[in-house]
Amino acid sequence: MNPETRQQIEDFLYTEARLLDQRDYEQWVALFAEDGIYWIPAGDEADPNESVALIYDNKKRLEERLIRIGSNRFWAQQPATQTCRIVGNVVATEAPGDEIEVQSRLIMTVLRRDRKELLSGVCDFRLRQEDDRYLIVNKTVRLIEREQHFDNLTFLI
Amino acid sequence: MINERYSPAALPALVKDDRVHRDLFVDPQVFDLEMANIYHRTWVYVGHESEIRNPGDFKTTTIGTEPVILSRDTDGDLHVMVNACRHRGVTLCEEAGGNQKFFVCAYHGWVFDSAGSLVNVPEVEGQPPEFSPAEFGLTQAAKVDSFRGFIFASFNEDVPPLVDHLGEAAKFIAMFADLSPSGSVDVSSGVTRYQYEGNWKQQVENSMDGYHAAITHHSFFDEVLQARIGRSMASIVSGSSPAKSVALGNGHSLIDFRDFDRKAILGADQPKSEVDWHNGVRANLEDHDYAEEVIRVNGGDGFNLLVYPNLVLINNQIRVIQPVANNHTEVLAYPALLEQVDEEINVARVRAHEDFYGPASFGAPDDIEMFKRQWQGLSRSPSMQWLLYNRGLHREERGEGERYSSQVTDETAHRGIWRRWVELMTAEVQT
Repeated sequence: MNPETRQQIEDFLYTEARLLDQRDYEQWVALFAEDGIYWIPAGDEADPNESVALIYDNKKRLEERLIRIGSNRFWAQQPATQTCRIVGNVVATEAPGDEIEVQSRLIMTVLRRDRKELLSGVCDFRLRQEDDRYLIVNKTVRLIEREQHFDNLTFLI
Repeated sequence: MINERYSPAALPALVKDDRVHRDLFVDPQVFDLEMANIYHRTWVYVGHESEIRNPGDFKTTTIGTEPVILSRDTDGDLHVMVNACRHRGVTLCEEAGGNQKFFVCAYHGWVFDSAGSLVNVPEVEGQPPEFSPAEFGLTQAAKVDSFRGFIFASFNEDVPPLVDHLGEAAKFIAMFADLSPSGSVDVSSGVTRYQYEGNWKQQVENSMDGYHAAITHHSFFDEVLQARIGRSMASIVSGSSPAKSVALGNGHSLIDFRDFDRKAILGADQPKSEVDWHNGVRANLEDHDYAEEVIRVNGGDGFNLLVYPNLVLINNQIRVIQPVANNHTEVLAYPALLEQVDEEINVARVRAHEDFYGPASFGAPDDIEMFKRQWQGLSRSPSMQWLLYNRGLHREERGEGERYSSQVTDETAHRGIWRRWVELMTAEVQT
């Protein structure tokens, strides 16, 4: 992979993380391809049909999230969760069909009211180049905390 | 010293027909009494048979705050054993579940088998000659029994038989199981877990609360569903809905949506996999009227069933409430899969679970937010002493025995829960 492509992919990951930190969910959902999948497993399963997930969204459901986010009665985000993400250890490899597989590590501080938490995990992206931009075909985040008790992940990972 | 207000003679004054004193949520002493008088007195749900199908299978859970191992021994019999070595109390089992013939204490190496018997003590010659290993098996629940795959245990030797305890709730557990053409659901698709700062009774009450849904879940019932299916579903929980709030007796209760004809609203088109599934249900059940009633549970919107004190069955979810402290509660939510149906039926059930009950779903996080806000308000406001439970008092109907029924936005179920709470908390004898 040439350095220029690699730089574009890193920039893409930083942008993706920044959109979530800034709660610009509309722009974030727009990063997903029409057949895109967003998956946060609750265990070690390889197949999302095997087991219940923390989140398993297709594009339609991601767009439904925008309805909640725009609602004045989205209680779980009143007040909104503040997040700050660090993305690193980026490894990108070319995949069949003009797609790229990217693995990165995520560490994020999560603050809501006076409660602060740290979440960490491995992110696997499958990206597709379309025109002059990348689209997310699959984003899977395996949190190291995935078997803990979560009360609210509505800010999204 | 136990506060005199919580003695069997005085306690009923804190639970009136139409109100309950805040201290029953807030006071840690009440929580300790609940663990003894409720969680160690009646039957508590501990797991489903499909989680421990084979000899040697086990899972860890709690009865109240007490850690237990639910085990199927090598003969196939069920045991519920305290997860603490009889020597010095070290937990024997750190895993959520698995399969093993023996539980070995990591501290001094005492070995217990899957029935809880002490089978090996290292350096046993150091024990006095009169030491009898047979007396030091794991502490076991006095009773373990299951109904339609749902396993319950009690530490109370004198507890009434499980079927008597379940009473009216048994019929609804059976309907939940009979939605599966095999007659048994399967709990093997994982779990979502949440916790909140607050009391366990908040989740119990919320599970039976038809009144909150249109408000707390407005963004889902009105806004998301408007986009998804072209109409709001808030009418199912409105003041004019035919759905009901029902007290079944023994604290068990129901939000009964079966008279709400969801199919009439959403259309009756059925994919082939659903037709096959329903025919499977019909083939399994000899009583044709009953089979149609079961199928209608899914075609309508079914019911939310509370099996007091810690089990809730909602649509396709098995919810287990685990008290940790007066101000800390954990909840486990398992999708219930069906057996002998097309895979797409079960995948849809798992996705439906994530849709409303997961930690980033369109439902549960808003409930949990209310638990937190309720705890913030309730626990810090001693000047506001009473919580109100009066809705429907003027219009609820009493049925047979302890059965009461009223409109879905009423608090009939909640009053039944509190009647049982008082009964258990003031019982002089262990029954």
